[in-house]
Amino acid sequence: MKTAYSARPLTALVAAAAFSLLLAAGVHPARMQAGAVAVASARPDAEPAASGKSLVVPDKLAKAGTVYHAMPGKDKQISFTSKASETIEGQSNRVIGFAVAGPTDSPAALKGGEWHLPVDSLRTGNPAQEKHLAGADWLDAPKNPNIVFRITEVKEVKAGAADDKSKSYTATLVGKMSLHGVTKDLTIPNSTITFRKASAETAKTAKGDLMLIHSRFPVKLSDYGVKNNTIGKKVAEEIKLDVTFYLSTVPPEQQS
Amino acid sequence: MRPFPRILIVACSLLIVAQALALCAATGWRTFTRFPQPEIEEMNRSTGLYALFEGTGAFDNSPAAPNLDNRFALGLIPYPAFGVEAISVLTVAGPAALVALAALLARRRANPRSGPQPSTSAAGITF
Repeated sequence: MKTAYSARPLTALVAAAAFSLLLAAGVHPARMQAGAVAVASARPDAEPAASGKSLVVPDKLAKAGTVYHAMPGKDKQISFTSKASETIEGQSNRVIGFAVAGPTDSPAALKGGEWHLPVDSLRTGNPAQEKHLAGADWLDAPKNPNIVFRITEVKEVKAGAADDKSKSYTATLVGKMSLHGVTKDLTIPNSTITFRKASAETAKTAKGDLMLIHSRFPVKLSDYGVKNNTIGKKVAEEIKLDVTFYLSTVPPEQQS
Repeated sequence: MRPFPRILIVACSLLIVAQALALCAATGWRTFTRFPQPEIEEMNRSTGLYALFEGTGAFDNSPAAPNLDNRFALGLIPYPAFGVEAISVLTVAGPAALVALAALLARRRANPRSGPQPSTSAAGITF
């Protein structure tokens, strides 16, 4: 008994030392649990601008090419579908982010891009369901408020339809996606990247040159540490995502 | 219970069940109840961006995601939460069906008890 009691202060001392070492190393204890299998990112996530409508483009990327900004608050940007014993569909148009176009002769070879989707902006038509989706048992919005997409490379760029107004390309997007505190590599083939020059017609809808990135890809929830009893029953293990990012060279703060 | 009120209770209860099922059918046989939301309305309202890219090849590989249905739909079962999402065919029609069943069972129980009543005229009253 005496030995057991005397071991306690020693255990506490070791724990306190380990805790302070972690803090000194910049590891937040709250991140350890979810981010245990996280892939190291080349750079930290871009910060949102003061307006909250766009992301601050890192200097290195801003200098690499023409920057296009996402346009939140307009058309839907992300749609998801889960088909199991019931079909659950949801959408959001609150995505903020940017893409940096490639060289003039191959603009679809993007230099980079990053988008932040606020988890609590997903709408399904059922407020209670949305609350559950953002809750601790699912995407855990309080701990991980954003789903982050980041393009690191664009491969297999092929020119597609073109006319005097627009030019379309098919490409494979390579990057990372962070969901539920877990970051994983992501490769999306058959994506389309379309450019449309500013004109009197486009100006009625949005200012600046426009770009559209459209992709459809599956996401396996267990890959991102989302575990729940209803997965595989009411909610599909694999969620289908549809990404439709409309972007403009004029930031959303300057759009009417 | 007298036959007329009982028939009325059964008829009204069955009417509630039928209307709940009809509303569910008319609004798309959804599992859970849905409500219109201003955010979905905003997303469904075309801003013209889609039209600018339609026919450019942007949606050749996969079509654009369809709009979310932004109408009220009465679901079949209640969403497991305390709120308006709990309104469903089951919560509306369920109690009505129980009332109808109870009224029908009450009649069946009453029948064997009621049986043939002894005639008062055979009570031995003699004049």
